[in-house]
Amino acid sequence: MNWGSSAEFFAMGGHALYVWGSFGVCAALMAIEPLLARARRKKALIELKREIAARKENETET
Amino acid sequence: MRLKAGSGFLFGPFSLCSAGVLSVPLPGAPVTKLIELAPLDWRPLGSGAGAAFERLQRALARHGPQGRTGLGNRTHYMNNRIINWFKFASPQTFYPLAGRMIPWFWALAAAFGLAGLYISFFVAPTDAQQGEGYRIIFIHVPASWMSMFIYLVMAFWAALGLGFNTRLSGMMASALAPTGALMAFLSLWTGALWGKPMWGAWWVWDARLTSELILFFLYLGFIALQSAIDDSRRADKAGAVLALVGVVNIPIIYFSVKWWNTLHQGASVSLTRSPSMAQTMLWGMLLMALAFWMYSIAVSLIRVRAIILERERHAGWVEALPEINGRMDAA
Repeated sequence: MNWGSSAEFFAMGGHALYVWGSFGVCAALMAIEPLLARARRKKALIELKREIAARKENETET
Repeated sequence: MRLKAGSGFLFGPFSLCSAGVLSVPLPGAPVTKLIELAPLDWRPLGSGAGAAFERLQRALARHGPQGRTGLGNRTHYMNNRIINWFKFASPQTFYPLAGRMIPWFWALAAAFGLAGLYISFFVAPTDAQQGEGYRIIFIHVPASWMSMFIYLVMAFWAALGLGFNTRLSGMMASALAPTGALMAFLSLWTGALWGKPMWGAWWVWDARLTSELILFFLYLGFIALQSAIDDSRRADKAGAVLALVGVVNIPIIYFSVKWWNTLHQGASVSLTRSPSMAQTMLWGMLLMALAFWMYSIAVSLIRVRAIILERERHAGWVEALPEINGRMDAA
């Protein structure tokens, strides 16, 4: 074990800004990207549903 | 018409690719004509392949159950094995398969990630020269590796799409690009945060850093080019050419620390000599690289499913999907 206390752990030997800046941004982006990808699929599904509904309505009219 | 013949003569099989690129900025009449005609050039080489596989598959499905005796048996088995590979080249079969695979890749990413983070922070010793600051390596190196690896995979799919005209290949390439761009960005970002305390500079115009920046721009260019072209098949082809030309940058990044005198340190891991770092550091890095890899697959599969839905909107099978027929939460 490298760390005597949790404060020591978060201080990262004086490199806290650099280490946590790296891991923090990495974690944040890797959390956001899947959400964006999922939102894109949701949007595609909603648009598809609307399109299919419109197509069916058209078919019944004519 | 003369223009078409000329370009076909000059570029041979690549005439369509050049036409695809041209179609972006020039809406002029001769160019549109060229583009309308261009797919004919391509036909003898490519477009038949995908359809031919589908026809072969249908024929085998019709005749498959018969001839279960004697010699015929063996040949049918062989055929089935070959066909099974191409079966997943169709968006219709790949869409549900991807949906089933995503949770597994998330689970693998989480498992490798937790083990890797544990080693990164609690097992790997403090570095003699760099203190605790070196721990950035555990995300910097995996992100850099993935940024290059994803580019190669993207170029592979792009080439497959160009050569065989398979629909799914282009979708795979488009699905990989944003994740590759993210990895390239993370590589640059963590590199800057590592460079500042160790070299005293956020950025230097060093061969390794500059070529990685170019890789990031290649990803952005690929995404921008594809989104500028409305016809998705044509966007695939234009993007594929860009991706294939950009491949030249990958060995430049990889060997930059050897070819030029750079501030960036040499390769961390080499196949030809024993590792220069502590065993635990190496394991932490490899586990994190595996986690990044699994993450990339999972998120790309989510994205490729979205792209399939966007592009196959008029296909009958999409209309029959459970998530279209009311049940939004179904996989």
